[in-house]
Amino acid sequence: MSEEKKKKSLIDQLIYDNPVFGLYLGICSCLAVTTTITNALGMGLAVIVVLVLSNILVSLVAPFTPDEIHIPVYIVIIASLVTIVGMVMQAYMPSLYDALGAFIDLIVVNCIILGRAEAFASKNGVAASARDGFMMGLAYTLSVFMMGFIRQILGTGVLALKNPLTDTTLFSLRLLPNGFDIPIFTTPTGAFLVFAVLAALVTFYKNTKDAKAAAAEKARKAAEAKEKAAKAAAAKAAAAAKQAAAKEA
Amino acid sequence: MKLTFKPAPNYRSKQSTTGIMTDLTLCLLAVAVFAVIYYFVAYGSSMGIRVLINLCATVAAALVTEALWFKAMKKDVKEGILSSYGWVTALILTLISSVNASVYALVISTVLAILFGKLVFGGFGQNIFNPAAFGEAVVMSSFAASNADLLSGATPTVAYKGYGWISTADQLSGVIAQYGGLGKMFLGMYDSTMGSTCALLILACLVFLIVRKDIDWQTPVFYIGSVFVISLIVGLARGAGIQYALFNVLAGGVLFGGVFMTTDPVTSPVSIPGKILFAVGAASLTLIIRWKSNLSDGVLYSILLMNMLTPMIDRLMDGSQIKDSKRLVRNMLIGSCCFAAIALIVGIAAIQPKKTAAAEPAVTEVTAAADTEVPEVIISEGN
Repeated sequence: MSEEKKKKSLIDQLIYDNPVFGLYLGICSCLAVTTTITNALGMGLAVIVVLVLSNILVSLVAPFTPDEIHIPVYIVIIASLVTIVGMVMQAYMPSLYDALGAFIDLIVVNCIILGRAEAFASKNGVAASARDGFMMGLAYTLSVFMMGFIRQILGTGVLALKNPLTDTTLFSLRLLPNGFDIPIFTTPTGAFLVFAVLAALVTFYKNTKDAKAAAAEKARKAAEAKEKAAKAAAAKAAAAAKQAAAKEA
Repeated sequence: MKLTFKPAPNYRSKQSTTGIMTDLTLCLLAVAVFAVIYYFVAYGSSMGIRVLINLCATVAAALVTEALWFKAMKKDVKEGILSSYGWVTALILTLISSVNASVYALVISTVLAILFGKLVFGGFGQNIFNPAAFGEAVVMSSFAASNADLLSGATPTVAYKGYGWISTADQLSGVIAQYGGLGKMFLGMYDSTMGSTCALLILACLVFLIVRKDIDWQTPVFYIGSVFVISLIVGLARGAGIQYALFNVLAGGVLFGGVFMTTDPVTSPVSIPGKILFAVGAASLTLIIRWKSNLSDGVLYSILLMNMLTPMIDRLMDGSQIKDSKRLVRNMLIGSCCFAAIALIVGIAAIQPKKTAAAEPAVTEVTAAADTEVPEVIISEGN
């Protein structure tokens, strides 16, 4: 299984093990922070940092943590990391910190982070945990970026990215003419619609790919069985020939 | 025993879904033709053409959306469109919108209504919400700012909202006089949402649909009747009289919603007691939303809210319709009384006349001034 997993391409890993659209974890923040791509990317970066560090720390303390208190221990680790990230953001990116608001602190209870600590980091080594944390964080960032991208274009008509450190606009592109934006996509209703459509597309992709893989597997098995049958027939023929030769002799 | 599994609506009689939908389309077209003629006569050809363009654009948008959907789903496009009745949604959506709504807003809302209100649930017969109401909710929540300001006059519901939906009989008469009296309101000779003005025509459609057995008479009659009775009691208790009840029925979308939207066979309960409970609930919610919320009219959201309750009502009313009729009627009575009682309590005890700028000059100057003062304030309220 693990051999097979390693063979998967990077994109497949991001789609198949996507925490948002594959496992449906961390949806709350995903709906709330995706009004613009600036917010989405900021949130994604914060989650990557917290996820990598928490996975590393959890994999370090897991061997000697008593089983009865492992969840409080993990939560304390995650909460400390989130507080550090939040304070750094407040100091250096105040506008982004204001835009994300409570959702920075709510990373503590984001299911992805505790989920990966429980399911992966507590059972694996430091390097593997760090890699898992980074991949999961990257998949989360990609998901929120996709949602933010669609919602910002449809909802406001403008695609703009800000540098959160200096608060200057890096680029701003009007993609829909003035008055042709659809404001419902800036509201939570629009977030649910975009989320549902993206989740459906990801599931569709997975299903078609799985069906193809299953068909390929079936074909391979059929070919194998045919080969086996042919081999058996050949062996039979050989045996018969041998017998015939022995009889003759 | 042979069991057939088909999505709603299922009919025991020979009446086919296509036949019902054809009749419904005819009625909606009649209402639409009235709207086009009214705006032609009242505001000149450019306004009439605008109404016509709105209607054509939404119907086209609905059909194109469905064609693309069925193409993408690899189904027969023609068959899919003919059994999906998207044009009904488009017509209702346009007719319950104001003429101020831009074509773009209507087209986008139609696409969203058809796609997310109907098709993603599995198409016609599987949807939870009335797709037209869903689309109009999008128009109201999302495109209020992009509306053109073609007609500066307010709709009757917005005008009376300026008084907080309760006032002395004189003030109410003033609002009604603004629209040419109750008689003209009955004939539909005033500006409001495009299709909901002509009470006479809508009632004719109601009779036509009932005679052709396309809809059950219980839903619209109980809906409109409950609005009338509840507002009559409130009107008498608050000193606004019987014209308060008539105004509540004629203004806004009560008649149009009652005839064309609460009777949707897909999103309303199946059994007759269920339909009655649905109608009374929708009527109570309509009045409560009118009186207590920020919205000027409550027909749309009351129908959407009752759509959500439809599965529960169906569950309350399941069983043999003949053997269990006693239990079903009792359930219906209890449910209806609860809804009506809440609306009555809200109406009699909780609504306050608004101390707006509209009411103030009327008090300080002469009472008759209210007629002339009101429209100005309404424009700002409407925005």
